[in-house]
Amino acid sequence: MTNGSGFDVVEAVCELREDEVLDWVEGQLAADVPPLEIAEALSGGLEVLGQRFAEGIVFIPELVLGGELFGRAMELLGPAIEASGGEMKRLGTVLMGTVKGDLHDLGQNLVSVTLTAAGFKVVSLGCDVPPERFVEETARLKPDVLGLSALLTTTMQAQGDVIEALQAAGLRNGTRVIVGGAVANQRWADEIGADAYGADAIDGLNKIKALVGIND
Amino acid sequence: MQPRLSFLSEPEIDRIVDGAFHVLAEIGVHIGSPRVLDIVASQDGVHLDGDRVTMNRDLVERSLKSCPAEVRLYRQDREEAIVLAGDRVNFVAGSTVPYVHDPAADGLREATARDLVNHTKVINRCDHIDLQSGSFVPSDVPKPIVSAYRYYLAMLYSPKPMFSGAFGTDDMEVIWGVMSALAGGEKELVARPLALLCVNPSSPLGLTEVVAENTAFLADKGFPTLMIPIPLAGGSSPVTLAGTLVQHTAENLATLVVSQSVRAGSPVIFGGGPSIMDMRKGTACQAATEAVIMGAGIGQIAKRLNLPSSTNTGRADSKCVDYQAGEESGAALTTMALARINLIRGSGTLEYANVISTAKMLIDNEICGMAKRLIEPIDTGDEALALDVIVERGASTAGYLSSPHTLKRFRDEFFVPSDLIDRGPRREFEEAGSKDAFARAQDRVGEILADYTPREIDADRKAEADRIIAAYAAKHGMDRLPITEIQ
Repeated sequence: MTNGSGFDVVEAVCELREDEVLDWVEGQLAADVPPLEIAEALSGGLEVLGQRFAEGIVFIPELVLGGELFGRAMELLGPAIEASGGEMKRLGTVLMGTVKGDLHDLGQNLVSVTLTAAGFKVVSLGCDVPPERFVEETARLKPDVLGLSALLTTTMQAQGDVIEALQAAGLRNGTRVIVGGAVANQRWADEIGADAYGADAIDGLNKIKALVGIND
Repeated sequence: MQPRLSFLSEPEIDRIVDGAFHVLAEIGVHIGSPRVLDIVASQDGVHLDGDRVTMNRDLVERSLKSCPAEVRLYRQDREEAIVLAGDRVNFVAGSTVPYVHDPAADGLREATARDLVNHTKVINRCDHIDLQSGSFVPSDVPKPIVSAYRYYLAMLYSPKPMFSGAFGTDDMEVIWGVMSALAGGEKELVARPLALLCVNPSSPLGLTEVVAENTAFLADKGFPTLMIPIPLAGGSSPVTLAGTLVQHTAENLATLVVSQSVRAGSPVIFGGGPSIMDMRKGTACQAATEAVIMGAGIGQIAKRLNLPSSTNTGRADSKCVDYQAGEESGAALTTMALARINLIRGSGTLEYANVISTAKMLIDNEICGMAKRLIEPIDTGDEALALDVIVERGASTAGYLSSPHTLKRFRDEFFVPSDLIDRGPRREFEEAGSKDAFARAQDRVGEILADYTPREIDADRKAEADRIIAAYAAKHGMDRLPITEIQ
């Protein structure tokens, strides 16, 4: 999208030219371009970045930084979108976190950026998240999907604890739960009563799409 | 001379170690156990900021001074020690993987207690593997008892020192009970450790509650603790090798301060498993060239700190036992031996240490044998120089085969691999079915299992270990463990 100014926002997002992208967003807002239109153009950039990642041209650090750039641009747009009474089209909301006792959030960060690039709203709770916090945030945000990450054999049990806590709080039926992490697998997901297992970021995206009823 | 490989000069090691001191003084580590946090906070040179602890250089150096430079481990069936110190090189089987490589099951299936026992029987026959391991995380017992059950089974089935770790704090006590029972008492166990336990600080710079508590538990007992931070360059540590080594060293030193704060003089091993993140796939590559370089760096840093060393190297990333797996394990195991790592851990593994192949374990055993040979100095003494023999035989047609010198020396001078390494004529290869090394190793696994003779073990000691593990299993809802007899 060059928008007459000659500025290719898709390419700017892909090349991670953050200052230029943010300046462009501000310029577009000042020129009264509808904020949802601006957001859509930014999403287009992230989508192309995601495609280039899938093709092996773009590497993970670039994908992650692209996701962060997108997030910052959306922060600029947030108030304007709200004021316009509009809402970003999202495929769904995903709440993510690494379970209690586990300090590894690399995996869930990769999943988060992949989901964001695909059009999901992602809220991450970080790592070492106790079951109570998952329950609280699930009750507050009512996400379509809750993603539970655990890297270690020692902490995967805590994925089951969260599902139990959701059940005890009466929230299990309204929330679809996906588990992931190096040591998880489908049988483990079945054993603790999760709805899906994501083997990696791309598999996680596909499974989450399936959970919210999107067929590619 | 002793063959030895170095990647870092002395001033370069200084820069890394100084960097680690700087990191500990500036941002320190997170300690997830309030009890352990209190113990560390009582030391001079500590500053507490919530659950983060910064440590000044004096405290870390004081702690370093109290650590022994040597750790001795013992087999259940031999008097002599396996020594972790200086230039000694020992190999330990790879461990703690959930999957077994099984070509009959599309290459992969979840491991069971039977797989662990079979693997242990094979490790028994690996002459160049010094320590055994809790190879698999068996899927046929409840998660909370897995770790203790692994110690129990492995120590029943093999007299080699057992290496692995506890998953929680409860199972640490049970593992301690099982080890003590098999050693004939806690005092006997501490005097002659028949096993080794590790703790894994979480990168970056975090000691979870379990890691902090288990470090404190082992220190309190005066039992060796192997510290294994596993930073992932570009993911959980800086993308540069030097930056990752700085953080890795800081993580080791912080754990060591915990250990020495609990009990000065408790033995620790400077270990690690730094690797790199594949920037296309997001995987933690265990066999990357850079992981091998960092492993060698760990050896040099450990020596500077006067501590025994260990690395998670020799692990393959390949999904099957193929040329890639052989290249990955072969290059890493050999390089680590040349770097004089005291405990080289990874044989038998595939797929970023998520999978073990028992057949690969046998091939890796051969590599370890060759690596041990590789690091022996070239003997240039009079007899080895063989001037007399050359003068006597060099101008004759008799050659050297019938020389008494050959007869006297050939068994020691040459490393003789098993038949897994094919050096024979083509005729024999074809007569045996034209099998590659993996196929030969698979056959050999079958022969070893068929040929297994149960080892003798003190009945009272076993009964006590049985009682401890059965009680723990019952507590977690399992009345009958899959295997409790040696057969």
